[in-house]
Amino acid sequence: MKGRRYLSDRIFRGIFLFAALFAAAMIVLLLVFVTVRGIQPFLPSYPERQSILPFLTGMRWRADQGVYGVGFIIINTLVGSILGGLLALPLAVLSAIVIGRIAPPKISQALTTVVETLAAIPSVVYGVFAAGKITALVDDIASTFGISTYGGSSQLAVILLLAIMTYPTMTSLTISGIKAVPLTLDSASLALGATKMETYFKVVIPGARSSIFAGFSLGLGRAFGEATAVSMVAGNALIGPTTSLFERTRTLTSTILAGLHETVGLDYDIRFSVGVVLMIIILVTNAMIFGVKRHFDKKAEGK
Amino acid sequence: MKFMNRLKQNKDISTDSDIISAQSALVDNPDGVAFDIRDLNLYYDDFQALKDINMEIKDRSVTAFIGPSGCGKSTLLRCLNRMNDLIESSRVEGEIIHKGQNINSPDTDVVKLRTEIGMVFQQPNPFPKSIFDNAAYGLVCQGHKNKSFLREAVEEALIKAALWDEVKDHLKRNADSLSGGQQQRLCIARAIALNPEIILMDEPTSALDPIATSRIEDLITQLKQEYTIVIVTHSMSQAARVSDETAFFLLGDLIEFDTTDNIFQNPRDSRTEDYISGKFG
Amino acid sequence: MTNSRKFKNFLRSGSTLLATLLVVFVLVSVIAYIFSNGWGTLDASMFSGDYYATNILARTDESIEALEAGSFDRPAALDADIPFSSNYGFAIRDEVNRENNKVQSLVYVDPNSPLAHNMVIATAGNKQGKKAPFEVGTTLLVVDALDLEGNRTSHGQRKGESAEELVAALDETIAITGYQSQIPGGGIRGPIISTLILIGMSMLFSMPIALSAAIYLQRLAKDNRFTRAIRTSINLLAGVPSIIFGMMGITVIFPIVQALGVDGLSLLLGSLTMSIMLLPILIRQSEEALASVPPSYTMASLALGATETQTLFKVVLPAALPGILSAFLLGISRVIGESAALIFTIGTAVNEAPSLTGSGSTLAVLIWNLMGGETPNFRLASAVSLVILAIVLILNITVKIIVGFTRKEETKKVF
Repeated sequence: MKGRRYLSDRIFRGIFLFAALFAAAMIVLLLVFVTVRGIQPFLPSYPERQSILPFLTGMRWRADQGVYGVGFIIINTLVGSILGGLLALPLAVLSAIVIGRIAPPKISQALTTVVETLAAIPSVVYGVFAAGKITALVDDIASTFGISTYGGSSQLAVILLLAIMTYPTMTSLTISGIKAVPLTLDSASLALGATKMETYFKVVIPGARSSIFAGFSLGLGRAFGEATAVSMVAGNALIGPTTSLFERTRTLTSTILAGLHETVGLDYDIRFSVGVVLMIIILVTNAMIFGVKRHFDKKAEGK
Repeated sequence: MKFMNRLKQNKDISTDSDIISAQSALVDNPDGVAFDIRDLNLYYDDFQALKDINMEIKDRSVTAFIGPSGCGKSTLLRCLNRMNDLIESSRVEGEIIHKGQNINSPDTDVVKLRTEIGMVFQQPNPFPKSIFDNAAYGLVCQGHKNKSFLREAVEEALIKAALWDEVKDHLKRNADSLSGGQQQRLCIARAIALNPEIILMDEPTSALDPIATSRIEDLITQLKQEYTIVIVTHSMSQAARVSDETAFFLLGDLIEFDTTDNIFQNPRDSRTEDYISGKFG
Repeated sequence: MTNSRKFKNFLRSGSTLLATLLVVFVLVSVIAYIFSNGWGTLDASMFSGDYYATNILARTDESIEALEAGSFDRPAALDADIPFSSNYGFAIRDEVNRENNKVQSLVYVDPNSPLAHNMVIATAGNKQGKKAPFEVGTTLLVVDALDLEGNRTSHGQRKGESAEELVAALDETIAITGYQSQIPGGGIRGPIISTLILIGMSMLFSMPIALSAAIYLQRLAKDNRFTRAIRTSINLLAGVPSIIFGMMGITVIFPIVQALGVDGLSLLLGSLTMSIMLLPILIRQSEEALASVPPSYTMASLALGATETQTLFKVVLPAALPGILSAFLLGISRVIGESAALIFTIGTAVNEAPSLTGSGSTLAVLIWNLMGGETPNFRLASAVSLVILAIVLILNITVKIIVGFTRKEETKKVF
């Protein structure tokens, strides 16, 4: 009896360990297999072999002519995502301070629900909204400047959409950061004759700095990888980089999705290469944000 | 007193009414009373935390509030700079006269009041900023931007708080890197930098080790030359060591208020005697 | 306070207020847009109907050669501006259907109308010879009739006539010999079934693995380099965009599924991909659920001589159940909303009768499909979005209620 019971413990321990290893192994499988598939078009054995350098620096994506250059797509993706993220950041911080400190409990709860709902809305639904409403807004703005757009599909539409979509991620992290700032710091600041607003802006928000950074980098990650919604408003420009907010753009993800099901061969395989570029960009950006954060932390510590 | 002159000078140049009134704070209270507390009652919802408190807190002296946990001593302290406002369920009745004004009146400029009355908390709570930024915080909030003025003010405050020698070479370092005792002295310096008349201390040494505690106590004795200090303490020996007058509270009532010597040597009320002799608490 | 200080404070409080209002405004606009575009299109037939329209060629059955015109009364409830054929007893009007096409659809059919009884399907197939459906909602393309002289004539939309012109023309005829109609498409029965299959299979694959991994990480793992490596890997997985998971499905899982005999894109491939994508979220949520179980429970159980396994299954998991249920529901809402990974793995074409081994399109993928064409169908896309939105919000509210309920229970325990 005793032996059997201990055996069951050992068996279950083994199962649980295996499950954890399995989950952890997935990232390795994913990175390896997608990368291997992504570099296929550049290998000598590939029938329509591509060269890496023109691919990475190319400023034209003409599938019809067999010209594949992601250089401008990388630039457009970076510009669109970073501007979108930067647009969302102040909104996230300001509304988080309302939720975390200013608003009375009931309103704060209601606003939390607003943020959670925004987070729960699937990206295709944002896409429908963006294709219907944001593009119309962009078109209106453009026409007041006397600029005509491709029905509103533009870099600006992508930026606005990504600002909306990254906002909930940034906000929920910022809220938890703000809630983690001890209330004794608020008391100290108020007792020194700071007003409540001064306390929030000079003590609480700086105190939540590392959560704000984490939220920003997570939000950016989401912006880079956002696919379906962006592909509905990007307009898929053929050359670039896009220099005007009102011009069509093309992101890495919209490139991957465009015409996915009507294609085979190189045009299909090259999408995996674009996917590899996307993964590298996310990794590099995260590393850079981490570096910036370290720099700020060091500065704060005065070392 | 270089800094004081500098501060006065700075204030003289400014035409701002706030700063002029802050300057008047430097003038002694004519009758030697910092706070005249009259019929003060305080409620948290239905619970009465302070009952009919009447007392006068003297200028330029150290007044200690003692009593068992939950007796209302910290609550009373927080009334003196209206920090109880932050607790939504609290309701205050009665008057606290400070410089001829009732600070409980709705017209009171709470922000200004708090710049005139410094406060030090139970746990050292420096902001996660540099030592310099901590000490300069109150002044920066008031709109002081002049770098050299701030530097002098910070130096003066840190000297007064007996911290200058330890931190002068790394003012840019984060305040978190200081020890608990140093952090608490920084919190005192932070309050002093505003040049208040009064410093409220809420069990300032309860989170510190004995050595750090004795440094803070020395500091309090020094500071009372210039400031009115009201200190809430759990330690009766601390009250005996640092204070001139002591008030004993029990369950929201002010039981006895007298010179510290009288309270500890000839208490009039038997409950005071029981408490200081350690029968309860 | 100085004026500049007051002004700064005013700016600060103003900006926080403005930011908050803007966020609320965005949420309201998204929901209002989806609602206003989708609500009109949403009806019961949409949930049960086929996605693709069915064309019907109807002729008179063997008993008669032509349906003779009768005399029917216009029903009182019918709007005056809707054309009504008193000869044949039906009302028809011009409208734009779910698929964004201009059509003429029946809004009323008299119970005694000959068209509702004496017509059979002429199109080749297994329904040939069966009674042709002539019901409200059916759209009429063209009607063949005999005019007053007995000559064959054709009328209807295909002849470029409006509903009103069609009815007027039919009133000048003596009999109908046949018609072509269409049972409208735009129904989402197929995508709903695909979505349900996908939810079921994804959760079936991922939940046990996620829960086991969470148990390992939360209760068994020591804080060492090995555990940290596992955690880092899982966190990295959480940061991978869903479109990359789609690629992983094609490169890693596709060969496995193929070896099992399922070729091509399939719901099986999609659900295996989804289940891997769900792992990090489910593990994190389950870990939180397990962490909420007080350690004293475990101590008490072990002290009573129970084994680790017994303690886990009899004490810890039941206590963590609300949290695990929350994880489960959040997982479901992720599957419902997912599109990018599925576009790679299950395809985009709608399958009217989806199966695990066949391709299909979930509701979210259908939306992408509807928006992707040359002329995006906003109305149907919004209607489907509305369905998804409702389900996702209900799931999230349920999770909130569960979490709120358990929190309350916990506070009760403390006091």
